[in-house]
Amino acid sequence: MNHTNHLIDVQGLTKTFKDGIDITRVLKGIDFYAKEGEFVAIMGRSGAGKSTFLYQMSLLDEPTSGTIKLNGHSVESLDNDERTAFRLNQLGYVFQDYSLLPELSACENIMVPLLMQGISEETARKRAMEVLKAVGLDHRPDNLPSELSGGEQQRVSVARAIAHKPKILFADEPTANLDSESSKLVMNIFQKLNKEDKLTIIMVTHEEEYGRLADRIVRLSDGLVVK
Amino acid sequence: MHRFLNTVRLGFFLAIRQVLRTSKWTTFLIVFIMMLTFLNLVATSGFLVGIIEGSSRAFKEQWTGDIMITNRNEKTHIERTNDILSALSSFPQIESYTPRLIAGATIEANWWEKRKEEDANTVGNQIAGIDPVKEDQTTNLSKAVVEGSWLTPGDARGIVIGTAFLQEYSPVADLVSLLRNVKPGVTVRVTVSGGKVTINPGNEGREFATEVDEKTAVTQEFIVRGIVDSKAGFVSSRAYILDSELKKMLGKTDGDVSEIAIKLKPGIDPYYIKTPLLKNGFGDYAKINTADEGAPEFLVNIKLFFSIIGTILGSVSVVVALITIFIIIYINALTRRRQIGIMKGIGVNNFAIEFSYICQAMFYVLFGAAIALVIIFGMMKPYIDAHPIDTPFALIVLVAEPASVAIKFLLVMIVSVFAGYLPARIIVSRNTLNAILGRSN
Repeated sequence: MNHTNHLIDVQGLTKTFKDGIDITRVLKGIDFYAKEGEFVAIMGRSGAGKSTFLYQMSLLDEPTSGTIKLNGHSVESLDNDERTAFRLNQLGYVFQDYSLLPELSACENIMVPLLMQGISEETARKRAMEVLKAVGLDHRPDNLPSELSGGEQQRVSVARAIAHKPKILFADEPTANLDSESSKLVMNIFQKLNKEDKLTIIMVTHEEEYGRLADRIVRLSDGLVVK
Repeated sequence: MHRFLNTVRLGFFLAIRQVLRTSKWTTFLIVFIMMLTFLNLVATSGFLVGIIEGSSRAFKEQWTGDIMITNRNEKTHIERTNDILSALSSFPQIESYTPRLIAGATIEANWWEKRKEEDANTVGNQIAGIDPVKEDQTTNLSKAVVEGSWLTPGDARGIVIGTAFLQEYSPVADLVSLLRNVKPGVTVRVTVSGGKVTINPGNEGREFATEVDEKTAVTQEFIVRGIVDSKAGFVSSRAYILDSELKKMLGKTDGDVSEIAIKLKPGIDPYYIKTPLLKNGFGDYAKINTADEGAPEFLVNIKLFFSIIGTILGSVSVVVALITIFIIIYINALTRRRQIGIMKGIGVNNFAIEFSYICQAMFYVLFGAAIALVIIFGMMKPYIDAHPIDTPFALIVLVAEPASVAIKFLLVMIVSVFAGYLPARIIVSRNTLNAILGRSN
């Protein structure tokens, strides 16, 4: 297979957890790719290893073995600081439970990665307002997460993930904690980002309805890609 | 450099919001603990040094004045006293001075009731002949009178007795023989060595013989006008009569005295007076010392000892402050472990997070210390200066010199940097994903 035009290229990925003498092999040698601008849904039953796979691929965890190439960079050899910098500049994250910083307002949550990139506070605030507008929350920039509904928090989380214009957006069960209306809103945003901004999205979900909205579905079972 | 500044800026951005938007009660509690920690740091050593400072102050205010002139060791009196006194009169910086003639004396009370030797109601100590007005202007001894009144000019039969003569005021009354049943209005008999003054300059001219030469003894009756008590032991260990009466008893015809205490106007450097006196050659006739130079040796040694103890306790307080801040920041960071993981996950580097905790620690210390400083300099120090804590050995004051407090403040701020950084470092270095998912490492 020619991998040169793949934005994500994973080969033989394994992940093993040790708990005393118990060894659990969660990922058993996964090969995976995603092209630039592709929207891929990773699906499978509970315990199939979907989230674990996403964490390895998105540099939040280190695999036991295998290779990962992101945007042409082999990331296995990166040290912690380089991985952090790579996440900051190339990747965006949407977590199942929103993962907003409770002491920061919606706008400030979005500003954090921008400030880390060295953007001035004024420009960061302006950009945060743009993305808040894109997710339909520009009327609530100063609200703390505790003052927002679950759906609104997840939209802020999406806004934070895309504010710094990442190459890849990783989303782990982004609709799992949302009602159907909020879920649809979030999925509409994802589709828009993918179609209009050509953002590559890798989304883990167990909901068929939302998985079908992706360009491609990769199914995992017992730590292996089955389809 | 640019990256470092970004990191610092973000750390500050996070710290401000975390402090301002966390529970007000939590912030109040932490600032309160920091305030107590800084108070402990300043006040503990401040009171320790204040014990001795109180004693020193009592010696200065009620005995030596700002400058004390005493006889040279080989002499019994200050020679050329009149020349020295007229020189002192020419200094406008001098507020007042008091010459004292000192002699050894025995004081006897209720002698008419004495049937056998064991009934003797006698004590030997020093007697000072003074001008009551000048003495009071210089040492305010009238304020130290605890019973009766201070001497008045022309009161040739009056005597004021220090509490060290009296059994009723002595903490060791059972161990030493002191005067019994002596109160204002009682008549006492004073015996001094007439014709030959038995002043013994002793060590540095501050110790005087209290024995009377029986061959030349002169006895005279006086009526107790008042009883004087001071934290400066020398003051309470003397009896005071008019200088003219003591001169008569001693058969002295010259104007020489034993000591001169000089009080300067506020803010005047004592060397401004001492140096010209020495230049005029008065150092050949008397010893001229500032209050600090003339402080009793035991006081200097105790001062040094308490200063060392104060430094040790201060160091312990700094360690306590370090541990307190460490624990507070550790708990603070531990409860935000998941948020720290999220920040790392979205690309915030470790130092930005650590710096946010350093800023928080510095904020808590800054505000806690600022409140403590207001309490110390706005309330405690002025109040205790006006109302020193009365103990049997000294009037204790709070010594808090701005320079030493500033050093302690700086020290605590430096400590807060480490105490903020270390716990944050421990939490930040944990696995990012485990922190995000709330799993133990």
